[in-house]
Amino acid sequence: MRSCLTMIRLLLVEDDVADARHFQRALSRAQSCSFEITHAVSIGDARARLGWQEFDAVVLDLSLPDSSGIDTIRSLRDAAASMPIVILSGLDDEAMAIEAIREGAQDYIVKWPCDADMLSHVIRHSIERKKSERQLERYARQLEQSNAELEQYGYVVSHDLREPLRMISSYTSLLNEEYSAALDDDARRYLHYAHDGARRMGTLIDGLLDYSRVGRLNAAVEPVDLNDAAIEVLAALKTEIESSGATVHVERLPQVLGNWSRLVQLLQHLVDNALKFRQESGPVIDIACEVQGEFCQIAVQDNGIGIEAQFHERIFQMFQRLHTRDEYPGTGIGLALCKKIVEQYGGRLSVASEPDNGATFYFTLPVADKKKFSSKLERRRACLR
Amino acid sequence: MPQVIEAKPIEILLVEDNPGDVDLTKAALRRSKLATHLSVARDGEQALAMLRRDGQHSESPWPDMILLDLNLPKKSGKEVLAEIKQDPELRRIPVAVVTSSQAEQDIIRSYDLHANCYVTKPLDLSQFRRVVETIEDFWFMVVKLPSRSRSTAVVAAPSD
Repeated sequence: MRSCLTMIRLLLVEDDVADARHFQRALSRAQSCSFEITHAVSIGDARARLGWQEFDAVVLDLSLPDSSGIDTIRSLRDAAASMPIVILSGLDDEAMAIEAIREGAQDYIVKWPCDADMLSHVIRHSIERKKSERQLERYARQLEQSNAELEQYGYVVSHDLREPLRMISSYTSLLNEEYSAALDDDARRYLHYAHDGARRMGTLIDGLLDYSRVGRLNAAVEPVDLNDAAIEVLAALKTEIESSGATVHVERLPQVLGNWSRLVQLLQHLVDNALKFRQESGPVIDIACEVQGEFCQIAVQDNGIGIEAQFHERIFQMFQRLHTRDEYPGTGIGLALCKKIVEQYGGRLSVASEPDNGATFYFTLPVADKKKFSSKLERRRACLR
Repeated sequence: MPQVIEAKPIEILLVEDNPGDVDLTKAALRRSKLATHLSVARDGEQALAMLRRDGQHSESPWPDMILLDLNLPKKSGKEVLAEIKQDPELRRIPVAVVTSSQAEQDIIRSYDLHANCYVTKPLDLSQFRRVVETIEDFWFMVVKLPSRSRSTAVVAAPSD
């Protein structure tokens, strides 16, 4: 025998006396539970009772003297906020009952005939479902709040750390300059370590600040032409591209939905990594795209040192660095920031790579105007024929 | 007898409570090709007392420029800025907000309160010197500043 609530307190809102009696009789035959039924004959009556009585569930007929249809559930929803509402619907009212579920009802029972145990089951199930729903809502609210607090915290911390850092950095420089004659090589080296430490901390703080800003500052979402973004990125990395003898191919890219500066930042970081983690031979970087329905997948592929499979997830975590600072400079924030940016716009960031065999970073973004893009592709294909 | 016109040093009022930053500013100004004289106020109230020549500050020089930190004890930098820019005599003095904050709301608010410019203090000493140098180049060489005389007081607008 399944356990159940010893007594379920129901508010039945039904103006048809025959229907109400039928319902009460049916429920009294239920085997597994007992029900205490309070009968209200109108919305007004129901709201009054909800004000001074406790119930576990509300069973609601949608057509009442002082309300009908969807308005009925809407007007009761707030008064019965924590309680599940089960609709009693007539045979020809099923469409409306389904609509009522969209408006917040848990379930519906088609009037007559109905089995006592089925009635009882529907009601008890609705009670449990409502409980889970409310718990989920509570967790969601807590998470939202804690997220907001964390982002605020990240911002305040990195902001307030700047000033003391400036003092360390500036005064180690001043010491080095103004007391140069009094310093021996060791002293100069010590000052250098201190100064460099401050510099690195500054970069770290900037990265943290940046990271905490994604999402906190609601940067405008707009259509962004990734071709323009790519041009901007290549211009910004011009020196590194030339000094490393890199070749960069960029396929025609779509317009996506996102924020211009964030997406430039994303692309720039990926290309910068591709240049940084290069092998002896000149780096070759390919940027391609593939439209997959409402999203497009951009691939940034390089022929660099690659990444071992065991690190494929770690690299996207904050402060995870795979190499020492002497081997490759970096704060360990970059990819975590890229991931956050991509996820901000509904996409995913991933990597495919083997050691010594380069790496391809894939990220997806929503296409801004699918029709416009595929027709551009069509025209381009037409030209190429 | 021809008048001897003495070139007076450029008067700068620095409103800054952090002694480390005061020394840095002094050190940066020392390198300048221009003759400058720096007065320092450690908080907003002292700054306003100096500007109004109240009590012990009756001999305070009239500044050609104010460098204002936002992060001040007692009266906040923004309050000081607001008071200066609402005062009919003081408001004509250019105020450069020089602060470590890069916060968007600080920037916007400062300009809303009529700061003449907003500058972020860089981490690096050489960059800081560059910033001070650039402020001097622009505000003291390129820009025309209002004359220093307090007696020229309020210039009435045509509609008054």
